[in-house]
Amino acid sequence: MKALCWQGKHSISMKTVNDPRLLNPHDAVIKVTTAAICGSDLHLYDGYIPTMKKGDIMGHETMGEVVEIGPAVRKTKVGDRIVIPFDIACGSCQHCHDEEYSLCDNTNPNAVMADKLYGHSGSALFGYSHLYGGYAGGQAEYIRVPFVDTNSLLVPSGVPDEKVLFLSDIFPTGYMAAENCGIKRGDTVAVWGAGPVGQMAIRSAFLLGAERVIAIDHYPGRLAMAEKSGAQVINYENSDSLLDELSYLTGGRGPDACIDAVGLEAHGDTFMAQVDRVKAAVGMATDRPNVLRQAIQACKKGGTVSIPGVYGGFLDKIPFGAAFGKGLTFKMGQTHTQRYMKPLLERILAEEIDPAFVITHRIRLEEGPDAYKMFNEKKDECIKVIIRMH
Amino acid sequence: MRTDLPENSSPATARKSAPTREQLRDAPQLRESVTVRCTPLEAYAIWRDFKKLPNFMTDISQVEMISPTVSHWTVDLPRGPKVEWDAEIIHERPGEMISWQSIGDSQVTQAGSVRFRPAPGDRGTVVSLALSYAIPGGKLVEVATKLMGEDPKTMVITNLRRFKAYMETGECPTVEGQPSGRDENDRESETH
Ligand SMILES: NC(=O)c1ccc[n+]([C@@H]2O[C@H](COP(=O)([O-])OP(=O)(O)OC[C@H]3O[C@@H](n4cnc5c(N)ncnc54)[C@H](O)[C@@H]3O)[C@@H](O)[C@H]2O)c1
Ligand SMILES: [Zn+2]
Ligand SMILES: [Zn+2]
Repeated sequence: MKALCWQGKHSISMKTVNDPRLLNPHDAVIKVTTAAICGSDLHLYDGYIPTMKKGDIMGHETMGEVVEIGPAVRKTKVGDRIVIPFDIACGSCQHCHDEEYSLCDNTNPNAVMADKLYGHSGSALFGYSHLYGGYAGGQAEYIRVPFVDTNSLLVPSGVPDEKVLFLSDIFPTGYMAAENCGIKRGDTVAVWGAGPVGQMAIRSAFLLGAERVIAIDHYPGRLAMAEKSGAQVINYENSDSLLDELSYLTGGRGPDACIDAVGLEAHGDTFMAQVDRVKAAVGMATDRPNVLRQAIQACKKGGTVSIPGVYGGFLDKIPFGAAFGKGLTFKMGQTHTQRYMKPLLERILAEEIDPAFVITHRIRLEEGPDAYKMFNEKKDECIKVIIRMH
Repeated sequence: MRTDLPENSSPATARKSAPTREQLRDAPQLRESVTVRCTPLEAYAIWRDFKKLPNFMTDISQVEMISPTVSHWTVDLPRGPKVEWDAEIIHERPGEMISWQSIGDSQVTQAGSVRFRPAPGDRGTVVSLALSYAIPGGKLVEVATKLMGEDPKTMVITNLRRFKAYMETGECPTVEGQPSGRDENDRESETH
């Protein structure tokens, strides 16, 4: 089959590889119909996540048709159309039982590596480095899905791929980020990053009753999309002081909750951001937490900082004193996608939201390498790329 | 768990009988525990069925039962010599614990125990493993690292994690045999 493979920093190639097969009794093999490129893939593309190997198959936002099932599969049937969550859960451990699927104990064959780095390993992820299990991803014609009964959402017939594809990641991710804010009547939520995750977080914050959402980015096209969703927007490049502006807009209290939908590759021209870039380049720090710092500084006393943006290693100069002094709550982590897929499908079917609004580019697999470059450089007003597979 | 001397490293002492009490008292001890979502009796039953251990303890090739309490273990790793030993159960309380010791002229001398206790708040069973090794003429860590490319502690944790996965899900996670962009190279290197 054909697949998009990581070849090194800033290098993705389409390669012909072996077809996947069943490796364990609860596996299924899926013929991929549509996949997407995620902002998280860019962290791999930019070489920020360690333990990638040349040739690894990319992709974790995937859906398709079941073509083969293992002997222990109970619910899923050949021919089912399913959406596949990006985190791989076993469905039986204590964390899965508690619906903390991305913290599953049993799916990462390299758990010992993550145990050493983080204290404990989270679940495996599709196409996301060997630290996270080394599973082949879904930007490919076929994909093997472990524990398919847990790691699938059955799509009702007649619903087009584009409407449900983002249940694999960014819609649940934006939704969980908003849910983690514990939104109450009258609340203002500030969202850093108006990429696909930020866009889903903005919509979700409104769905969960936010009075006002303030979106922060520097791409006019992305800010315009946020505005369409009802957000007030700030282009941080045109703002003398983002923190002053946020304070002014919230009557001096600060946003009730701040969402960091940017993560470890935050841009910025502040002095600290420059320092971060240099430190990351020379290996003294791994992540560039510019947005996280601002979110902590801006957040109201007793407020919540919700972090869907990915961090991987060591963060420098985090104003922990401010966080402590203001009694902030932090919520973060990989999304427990399986927890949200069904209820969010209901919202889609009830026409409360159509997540397809973020799609700007529809491509074929062979256009993948160019699409990565375009998405990374945010060229051609690119917000979300989907790949139509067959 | 198992380890051994490479064939060439102290032939004179490599085949000694069971460790003396002194040897084991001074031997390195490994202690690791894992919490498994099952009852102590279920965990005990799977563990006690030694023949099935290779299902999840992947570096053990085979376990044969010689008698109800004596078993014969074989480890045959691609990077190391084939290693075999006999072990005898010294003490066991069904659903609670098993302890064993290697016996006879074996290449590996070890003593170990595994305990099964209910975790607090209905969180399953805590499985705690303790192992002591006495390897005449060899240093355990060096030898094991040479054989396996891993230290014994990592091997113990890996095996406990796999035991947990097997108990909770009926399988152990793997990506071995999946496709990658390295496939072409494999094909090329096979044909050249
Ligand atoms: N927690 C999870 O499970 C999960 C799931 C999916 C994605 N993510 C993460 O969410 C983040 C966003 O993903 P995406 O797909 O939207 O990516 P993206 O790259 O398309 O969007 C990131 C946006 O952040 C903006 N940005 C950069 N620096 C900024 C700054 N200083 N202030 C304000 N905005 C800034 C960029 O201009 C861009 O529009 C990534 O870190 C991704 O890895 C996490
Ligand atoms: Zn993603
Ligand atoms: Zn699990």
